[in-house]
Amino acid sequence: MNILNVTGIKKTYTTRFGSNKVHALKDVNFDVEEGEFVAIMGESGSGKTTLLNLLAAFDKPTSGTIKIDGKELVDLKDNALASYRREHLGFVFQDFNLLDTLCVKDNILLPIVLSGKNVKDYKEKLDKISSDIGISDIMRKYPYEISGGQKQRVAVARALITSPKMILADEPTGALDSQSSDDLLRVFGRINKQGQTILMVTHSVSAASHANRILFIKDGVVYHQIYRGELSDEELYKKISDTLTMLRKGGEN
Amino acid sequence: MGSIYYQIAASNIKKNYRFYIPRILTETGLLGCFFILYTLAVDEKLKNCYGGNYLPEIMILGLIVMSILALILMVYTNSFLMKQRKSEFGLYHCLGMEKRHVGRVLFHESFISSIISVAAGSLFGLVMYKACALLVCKLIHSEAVTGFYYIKPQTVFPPIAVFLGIDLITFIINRISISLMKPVDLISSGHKGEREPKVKWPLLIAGVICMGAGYAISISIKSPLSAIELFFVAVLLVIFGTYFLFVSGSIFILKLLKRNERFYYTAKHMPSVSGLLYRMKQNAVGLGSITILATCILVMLSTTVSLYAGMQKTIDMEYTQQCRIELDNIQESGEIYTIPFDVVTDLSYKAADEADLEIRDMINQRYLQVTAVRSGDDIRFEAPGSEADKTGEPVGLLLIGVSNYNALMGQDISLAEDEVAYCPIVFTNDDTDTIKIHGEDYKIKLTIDTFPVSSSFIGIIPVKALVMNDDTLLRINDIQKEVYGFYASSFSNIAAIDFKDRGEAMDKGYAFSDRLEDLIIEYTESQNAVVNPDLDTAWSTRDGIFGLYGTFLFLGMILGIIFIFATALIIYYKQISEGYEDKFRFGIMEKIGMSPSEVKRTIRSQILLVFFLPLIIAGIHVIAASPILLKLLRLLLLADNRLYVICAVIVYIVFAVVYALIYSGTSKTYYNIVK
Repeated sequence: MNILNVTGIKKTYTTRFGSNKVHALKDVNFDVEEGEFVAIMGESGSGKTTLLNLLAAFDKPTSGTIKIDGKELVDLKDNALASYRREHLGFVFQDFNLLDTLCVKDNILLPIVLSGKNVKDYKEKLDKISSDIGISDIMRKYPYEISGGQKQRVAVARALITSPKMILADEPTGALDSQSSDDLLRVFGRINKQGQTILMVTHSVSAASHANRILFIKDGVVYHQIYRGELSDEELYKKISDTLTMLRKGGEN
Repeated sequence: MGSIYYQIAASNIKKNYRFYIPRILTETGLLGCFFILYTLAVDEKLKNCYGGNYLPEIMILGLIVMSILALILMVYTNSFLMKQRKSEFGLYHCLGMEKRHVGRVLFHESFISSIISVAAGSLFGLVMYKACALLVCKLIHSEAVTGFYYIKPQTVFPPIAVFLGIDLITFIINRISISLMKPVDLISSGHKGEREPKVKWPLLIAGVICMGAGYAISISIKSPLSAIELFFVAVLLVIFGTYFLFVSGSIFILKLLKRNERFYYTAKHMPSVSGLLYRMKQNAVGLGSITILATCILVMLSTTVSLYAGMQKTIDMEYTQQCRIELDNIQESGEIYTIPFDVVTDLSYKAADEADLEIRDMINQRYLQVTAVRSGDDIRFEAPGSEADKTGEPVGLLLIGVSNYNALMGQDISLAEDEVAYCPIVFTNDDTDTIKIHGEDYKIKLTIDTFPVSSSFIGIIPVKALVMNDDTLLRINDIQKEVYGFYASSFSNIAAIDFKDRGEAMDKGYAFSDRLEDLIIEYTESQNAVVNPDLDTAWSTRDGIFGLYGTFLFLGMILGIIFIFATALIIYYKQISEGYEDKFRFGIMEKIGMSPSEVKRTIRSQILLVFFLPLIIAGIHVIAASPILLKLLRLLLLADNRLYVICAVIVYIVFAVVYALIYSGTSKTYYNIVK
């Protein structure tokens, strides 16, 4: 079953005096099935951040439709959008975005609190997620007391606590060293195996090589995609590199 | 090279306008007010106005308060400025400037801002001085003297010197703090994670004790005289208590709230409670300062306004007869010359006629007014300076002989040597049927409604007003003379005049009293006596009080305005620093699913709590301070408790409105930053 359905998305930015139009996204179509781990790759300026902002409903497309779990995102009003985002999507950002005023546990519980739900009902879930991700022993600490890798795992836990339909990750390894990056991607792989749908935007080949499917965006359209199939991480890595090289050459022509 | 520092400094001031403009405005305003107070204090012409004699002392009092406030405020704004700019200094350092170079840039910045402020402040003071001097004249009911525009180098330079001195102090503080900093600190400060504050128990306990003691002093105080001694102790206790409780109590309460999971884990409370808790370290002192400033404003304004407004009533109460002439006059030779009452009566009617006033009644009062000390149920005369005199509760005795009473009131009562008549009206009533004076019991034979003499003790200490047998009165007089010696009271033998139209008497009083004085001198000279007539009139007292209370009111207003500015300034800086810190946090919450309207609601509830807490606490302080303030006001002759309450309520409402305006004005800056 499709969890995400993107059809004919177009996003045009108009300069202040309306004379110049920049087409960030021209015509993007793709679907994500439940349980998939999809990476979206592209160079700077290819429109991948624009796409993620649209998927997260931070911004609205100029035309086209985005359906999450069959629900049309474009129709929702601001307040409804906020609660939709809170309850159906989980976010992992490049710069963690943890509140330094809250301890790790409270940071993870924040989406629950903001939804007005009773945190007591989430106690077991909190315990399970934190032990899955390996942060059980830092639950009482504050963000400034833990490392970047730990912070990002806390952010993942925060994204998971609401049992979102899909996790949107924006360059999650961008601020991490390679060891922490690997740890985090392994966490992604593990939760994906448990059935969690993940959509990750990245320009790191090694990050993308953990995904099941990789979409390549160039000049505002989905240019190419590859499936993992039976490939190992290393083989997929090679394939992605080759594809990127090809894409870059194609760009020069 | 110097010009480069100057250029960097000038561009820094421009870049940091959000911090520098309020700083310059503050210094300008403070210097302007300081200038005005200082010139009022030294203005010879104003001082010689009628009622202007209180100006120098009271204004100097104000200047002391202002200098301290100015120093604190300037250091505060400065430290704020420095904190925001540490990373900027770090950058200079990275670019290869040494600390002494950074110091030189700082010096130029201080210099520029100082010159601007001093110039603008002096100008502001010069312009406003005339208006303020006119206002003072109006308040003390003095004719405005032409040409009192008193500007001389010696009035201009001291205020400027004081503020240049303050600027120098802040610069030195900055220079030292730069020297003490390590380059790494300079670069990374501002991003440092801070540990969640812990409850400081000793401070919390000290705060509760200080605050409780301060309140207890105010509420338990009995006599106005001890109120003077303990007032400043109570003030200091409450100031310390406020700071301690804001620093530790706020964290204590927030931690309690946080521990209550059902309260804490809600969308409304979690962001604000955690945010407040985290930042209370910096906020507590600021909020405590705002509270104390607000309390000062409220106390100053409500006391000075109620004193000024209650003046007429005070005079009416003390002067049931508007003019009193002492008949027993001590001449230079030491002999007492008594002007016959009949003569004074004739002369008074003559003078009243000439002044176009009508006398309702004239009486000859002979009474003894003396203070004593209560010990148990006895009222005793204790030797001055003795332990019993110092510690006992003072009581006033207003005693009149029965023959004089009968003559004054047209009655015919008789009292045995151990009997008295007691008048409880206005004075204290103890509901006993005997009264003990210096070891002897007197039976209260009857209670009377009106007493023919008023007492200058009323309102200050409890007064017992008694009519007694003439011989008994003489005996009591002998006792007090023996005990008090040099300090003994003497019998008053007074001709008291009550005018038909009191209002008219207040207007034309001087014409009457001046003329009467001349007439009495004329008469006594004809009798070969040298007498300096002793006239106590309601109108001269009124003008004296106008001078004092008018000056007080003026100082109250000026300091009130300055304190309000100070409050506004602290709130403004608070809003800015809150804004920068919250911007990031609310951005995150919006990203993980808080709608903009929810964000706005959270922000509002958080800010409301932070900024209106001081207003509420200040209100509680004022309520707690009321008992002691009422006692102090009695010393200043205001005995009208209701008037004070009304004034205090009005002042509080006005202040709350001004505070709300300041808040809404500055909160725009906050919203702009957060957006």
